[in-house]
Amino acid sequence: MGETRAIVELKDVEKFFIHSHALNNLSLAIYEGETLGIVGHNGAGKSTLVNILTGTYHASSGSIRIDGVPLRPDYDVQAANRLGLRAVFQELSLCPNLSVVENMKVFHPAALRGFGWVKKAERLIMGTMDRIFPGHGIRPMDVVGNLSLGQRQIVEIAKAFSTTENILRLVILDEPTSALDHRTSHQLIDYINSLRGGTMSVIFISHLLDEVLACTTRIAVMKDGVNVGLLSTPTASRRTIIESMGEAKLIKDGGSQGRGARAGDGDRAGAPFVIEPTGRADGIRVQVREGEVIGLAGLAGHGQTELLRRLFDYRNSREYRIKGPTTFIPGDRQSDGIFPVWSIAKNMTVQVYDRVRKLLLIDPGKERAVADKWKAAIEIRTDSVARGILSLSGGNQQKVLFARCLASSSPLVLMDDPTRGVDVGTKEEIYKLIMEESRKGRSFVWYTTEMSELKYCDRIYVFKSGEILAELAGDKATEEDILKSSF
Amino acid sequence: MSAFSAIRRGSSLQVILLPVLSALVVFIPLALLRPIVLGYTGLQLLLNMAIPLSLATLGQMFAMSIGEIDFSIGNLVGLVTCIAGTMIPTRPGLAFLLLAGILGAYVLIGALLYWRKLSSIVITIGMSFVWTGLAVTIQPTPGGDVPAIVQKAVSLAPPALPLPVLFLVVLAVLGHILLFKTNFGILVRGVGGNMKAIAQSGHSIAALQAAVFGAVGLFGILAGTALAGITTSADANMASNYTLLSVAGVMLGGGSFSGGNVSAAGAVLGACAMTLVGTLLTFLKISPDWQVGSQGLILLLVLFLNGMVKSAREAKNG
Repeated sequence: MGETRAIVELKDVEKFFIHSHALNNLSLAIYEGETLGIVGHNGAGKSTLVNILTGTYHASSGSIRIDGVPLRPDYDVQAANRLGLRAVFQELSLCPNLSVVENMKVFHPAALRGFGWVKKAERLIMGTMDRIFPGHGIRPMDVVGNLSLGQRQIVEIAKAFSTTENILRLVILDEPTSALDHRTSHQLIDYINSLRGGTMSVIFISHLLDEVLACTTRIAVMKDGVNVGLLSTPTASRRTIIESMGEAKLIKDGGSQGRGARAGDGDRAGAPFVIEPTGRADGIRVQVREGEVIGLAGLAGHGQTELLRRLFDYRNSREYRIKGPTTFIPGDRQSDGIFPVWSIAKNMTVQVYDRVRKLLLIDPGKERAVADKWKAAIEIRTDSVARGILSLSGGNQQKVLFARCLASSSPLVLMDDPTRGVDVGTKEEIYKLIMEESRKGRSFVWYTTEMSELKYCDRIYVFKSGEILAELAGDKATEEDILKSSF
Repeated sequence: MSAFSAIRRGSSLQVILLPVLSALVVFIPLALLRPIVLGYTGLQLLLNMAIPLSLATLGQMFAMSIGEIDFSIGNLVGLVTCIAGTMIPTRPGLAFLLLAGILGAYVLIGALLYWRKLSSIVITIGMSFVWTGLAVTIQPTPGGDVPAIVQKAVSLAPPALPLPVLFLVVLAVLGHILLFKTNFGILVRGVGGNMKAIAQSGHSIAALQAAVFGAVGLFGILAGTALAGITTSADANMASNYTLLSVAGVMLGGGSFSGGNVSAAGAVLGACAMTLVGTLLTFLKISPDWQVGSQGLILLLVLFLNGMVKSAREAKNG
């Protein structure tokens, strides 16, 4: 590798968001003609890295060079395109109402213009698709929205690899095979392998370790925004990747505030069930006892939120016997949590109207009293609960959602990654709150994308492709156990 | 089966099927009730008023193709009839300056929508008052003196096919070419389908939106001029129902509020259907008191059927 040129060189790159540190002194080089695999758990910083390379985000600090030239401060998506950097994202970047050739025209405006552009566009896209995915069955005039998801992904990938007069230096594939079937996935892997040694490089990001092993030259393992390991693919294996991703030590060793601190509470094994599987169980199913905190782990989008939604609809559950009523804390508070034009007090009491009304009308005094009680109990930072909910910081808004659920009498609280985008201090307060409430006998089912939050759980269920693959005891689980079941 | 799958595949054919049916549903009973409408003069009289409405509908179609809407187009058409009927004969310089100003305002609205992230509903409802205010200032009471050249232009009698039929066909073809064969049209439809994808490929969304609203304004001005020529009068409130009729025409033609799906031929056919419904109701001897309501009911019915056919098709496509 000594004499090969680096196409992209990142040095000590950092990226801060308001409440998180997405990239932490990341250094990484991508050499000409190689395929670099990037693996890591959710939140490892992979997407942030891609977005910085393609010009969507700017790095907070550090240096990035492309072909030896430092990036200009006005680097953006178009500049990335001019320098020959392209990315295929998980969410599709095609116009569904346009045909395949029209999408090509939009993407290559300079090359495909004037008389006869249709023929040119057709040759370009069909040539690329035939080269990568022979037998794809897509016609140039097909409207993208009428294609199957897999076919759309084929067009998307071929679009990224299509070249006109511009140079193509680096194609970033972010989970490219998630919509592809077995055959087309292999065609893509074969094509990537055929590029090796050329002038173009590929970054291949995937949760499917076998695919990463099949088509890369090196594998960068990321964790918490840092490149924690750089493996040479010929000597790497699933085991070595997972080992460098996670530590073998027990999750709950993370500190004294974990579930271990609750040892004095005695065993919960005798407590009555809040969630109990009905009928005979095929595969692992969730069960929850009174006062337990249950963690749902695994990679994002593998069925955790779906399970929470099914549990929330407790009356109609056929698989579980659930002691309701249930209450739900969403992670995406902007879209399904808060009522943005309402006051803090109204947002807090919306689930307990029976306690704040006088006859048929809401009593502002009672409403205020309930809200003030919770404001003091969980320290919501505001001078008055009559203020609009949007006057609060994101973390405090999330605390209001917690108060809303805890003010209700529901014995079961379902949480969908509730600390997403919340600052560290507030997170600690929320953990304390969960621990206190569970001591009082309330049960929690907690989907989290953060490994460190699992230390608060009595038991952990690991999800993959909609199934529960493993049930781990909270005091015996290691990060490696969870990663093994997730990947 | 192969013919059916050809329809399913060839999207432009499948999109045009519904508006053709909608127009026929209105036209066939008309022709049965009064066979005379099938003649040269009959068609001319029947479809004359479809000329301005189809122009306004095409304008609305451009706005709706990018997921926006123009709630002021009826007021704009009224204003233009006043400019054409009052100012062009006496102060042509000022009149053309005013028309250019309207076009400029539309371009600005398009750009503002993007820069300030505003809603086109709010801006265009606001603009509707500006247009009508201007129109009433120019022409306080209906009347005016439309230039002879405009009147002549709309009463031409070409051989073989009556003018409205010829005009509507040419308009549909030109509109189709503009939308489906030009760079501008493809980008406009692309913005309606996936704005992010267009922006990422290096196109300026602000410029595109400005151009789209420029087109809306241009078609509005053409519609107003045509309407003034046909009615030979200027009236600020003459076209106030054009706003909703044009939206209905676009919907009948296969368009949608969410943008992306548009058809020029469909919009023209939709405008024809909306024009003919009024005539049909008169032929059926429904009193004018009930006509507007009946028109609304028919529109609801057709849109409901369209929606059913559409969702059935989507279910089949998966």
